[in-house]
Amino acid sequence: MRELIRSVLALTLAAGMSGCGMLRQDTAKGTDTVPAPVSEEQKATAAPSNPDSAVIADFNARLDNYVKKQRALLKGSPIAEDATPAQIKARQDTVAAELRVIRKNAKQGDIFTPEVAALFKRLINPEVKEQPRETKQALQEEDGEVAQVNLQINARWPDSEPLTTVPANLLAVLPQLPMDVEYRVSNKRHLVLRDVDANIIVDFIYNAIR
Amino acid sequence: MRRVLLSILLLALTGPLAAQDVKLPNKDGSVKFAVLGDTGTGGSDQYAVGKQLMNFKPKFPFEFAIMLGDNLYGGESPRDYNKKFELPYKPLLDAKVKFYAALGNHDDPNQRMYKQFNMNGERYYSFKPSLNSNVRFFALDSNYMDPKQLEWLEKELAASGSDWKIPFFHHPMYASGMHGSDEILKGQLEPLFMKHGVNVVFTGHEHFYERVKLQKGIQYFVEGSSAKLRKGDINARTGLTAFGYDSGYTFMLIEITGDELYFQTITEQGKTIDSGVVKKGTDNKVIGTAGQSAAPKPAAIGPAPKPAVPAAPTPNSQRPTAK
Repeated sequence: MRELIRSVLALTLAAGMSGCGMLRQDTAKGTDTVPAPVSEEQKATAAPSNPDSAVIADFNARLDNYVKKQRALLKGSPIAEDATPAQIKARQDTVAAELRVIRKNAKQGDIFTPEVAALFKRLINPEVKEQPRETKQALQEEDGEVAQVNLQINARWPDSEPLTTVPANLLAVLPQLPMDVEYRVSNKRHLVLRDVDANIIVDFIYNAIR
Repeated sequence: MRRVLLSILLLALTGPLAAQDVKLPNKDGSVKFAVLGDTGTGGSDQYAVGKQLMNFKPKFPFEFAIMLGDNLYGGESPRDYNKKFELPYKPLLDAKVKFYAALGNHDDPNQRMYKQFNMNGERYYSFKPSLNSNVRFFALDSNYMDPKQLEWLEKELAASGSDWKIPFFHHPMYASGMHGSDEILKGQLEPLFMKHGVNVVFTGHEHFYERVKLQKGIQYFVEGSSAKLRKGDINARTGLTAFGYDSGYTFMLIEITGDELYFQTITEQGKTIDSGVVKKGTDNKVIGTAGQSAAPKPAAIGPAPKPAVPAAPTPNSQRPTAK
């Protein structure tokens, strides 16, 4: 039964994501992961009777909105192929500062809305219950270290904290993300949306993993 | 008396040199490289390993090194890059040795932008050391094995016509340490590796050296002690270990020639603790691995080693071959 539920959810997600342009073809240079803007037509077709489709479509649209802003900033801070660590760091700090300005009113739940958070928990929980030891093992960090981050929107992921490995079984059931952002886990249980280039916390779900 | 003293002096002088013998064929035209894992501490042990690598370079002219993740622990400021990578390996970088990095759980993915890690801006990538070599490497991001990466890997493996397909990444699919084998990763990667003829896999994460017994036709090495060490951490009860070493810092030298991959594992003091050969058949499947160790295994793993025997490929590699 659990398998059936998982299959239905996976199909629903795939339909939702492809409808919203989240699943893209490889390009010659690599995988193009920029989510395409959600057209009115797509919005209309991506929200059939299944309520999860509407939630995913909404998530994609919110994410798309964020990524577009972030990409525009990155475009304004190009990085050379032979960039030095100082240049890489400077660009990260610049983009992070600019994002904080344009997202000064951002708050928890802007992207992980309560509906999205509920759906994600519903997707994650069967995985954790089915493979509890393996999932916990994947979340276990070096020498017993676990990322302990004081989660705040727009805050920097601290240098002192490891970037906890996200268990592959969770990545398999969650919506795929464009390369600009990624899921991370804090305190073994909070799911974080992290900006890869700016190293800031975009949004988070408390106790997503139980 | 004078002769005795002279002999002792000669022994003292040649001893360290003998300890730094290269046990690899060192053939012209072969693929030669080094393997380092869990390096980025900036501590004295990392520098000691870097120094030994450079000591071996004139005798074994490797042209590149693969890094198995945790390339920079803690901060990733320009000073950290300098202290934890550029300085420890400066002589190698000056000698034009290329480093190819995989990301570990302590690494910010922004490392992909750093020219000296040769990641070309990608979190995962593949490369051939030279156009005419029969080897292709696949650097994976095992921190984030999402469906996109799995799809990419399947395509890359399927499209590769190389005889030797060598993935390297941070988290071990087979290991006998405190982390143990990553079962979720194994469930996702092993079917792909088997389907597409992967022969040898290098991983880190566990802070020791372990040569794993052949698993489903694939030879796995764990090399996570190039700067960090967890003494006594190898658990013999896993039954996975062909040879393990968890009492010193190590790196590996590798040479691939034809159907043979030779390996030599060396401590920060220049002592060889394991060496041998992985042999594959004409169908590119690994036939077996033979190895010999020059150091005692960790006490928990087994009895003291027998006298070294010449390394030779053996058809049955499912049994421990490190003697």
